[in-house]
Amino acid sequence: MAKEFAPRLYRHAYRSLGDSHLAAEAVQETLVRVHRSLPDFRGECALGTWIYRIAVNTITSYRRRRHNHSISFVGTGDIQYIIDEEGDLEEAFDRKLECERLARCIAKLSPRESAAITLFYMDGYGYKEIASILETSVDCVGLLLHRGREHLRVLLAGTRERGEI
Amino acid sequence: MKCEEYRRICNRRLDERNRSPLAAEAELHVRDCPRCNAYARAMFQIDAGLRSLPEVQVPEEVLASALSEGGRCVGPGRELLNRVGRGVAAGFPPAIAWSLGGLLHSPSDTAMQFLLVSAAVALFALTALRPRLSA
Ligand SMILES: [Zn+2]
Repeated sequence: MAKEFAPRLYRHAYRSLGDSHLAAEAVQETLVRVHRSLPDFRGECALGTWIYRIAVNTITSYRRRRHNHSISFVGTGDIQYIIDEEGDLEEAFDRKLECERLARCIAKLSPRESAAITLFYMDGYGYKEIASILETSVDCVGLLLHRGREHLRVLLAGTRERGEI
Repeated sequence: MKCEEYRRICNRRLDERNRSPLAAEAELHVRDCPRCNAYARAMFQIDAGLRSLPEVQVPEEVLASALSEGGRCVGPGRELLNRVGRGVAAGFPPAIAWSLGGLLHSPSDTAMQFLLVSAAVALFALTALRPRLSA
């Protein structure tokens, strides 16, 4: 089981945390938590869903514990900005650089937005599975993805403006 | 419909596996409203970027440490053994109580010796097994 899930969990953790060391630690801690909680697993959901739920909670606590000081999540008020700035949409851009920026921005989203975006785009889960993993409604998943993309756009525009990678 | 509603429709469409075309009314609005048009293109660009991110390479050491973690613990077979162990450990105290009951009814030296030995074995087993089972 660890062999099957570790690579998937690592990819998920890496995208959510944006740091390979933290991702490796989070995977290790997730597997320990899975092991400890396995006797309590009652099969109310798929094993994968249950393991991902533990992973998402572990990653969230990692982000709160270690990144709190450096993360400032974007607010809804910032969204107007992305609607108004049209110019740079047509700009030619270095694809690799843009990918790296985008990947870094995922780690700067709020924990739930980052989890929803990562589960949807990287892990290939659908609304229903994500709702089950995040213990929320299907509508809320749609909203998290919607807000997550909007916030990514704001964050990307900010990093481009500051010339950050 | 308000602009916000059209933007919600655009966003929802990005999450569809087989994207259906926008309804004619929404299509017209998104084409003609400059702000919704900019918004839709921005969201489409983010969606395309997310879909084209390269796959993360998993370091060897992550797999190795995960496997050592997995070997140490997880797996239905090992879990079953743990449960049996816990069951046996939990069965010792009732067994001692039952022996004590028997002794009170028919006391004899042999029964007393048997009780002491089994109590010692049970205590040892409990202290030795418990930490390992709950680790
Ligand atoms: Zn509009």
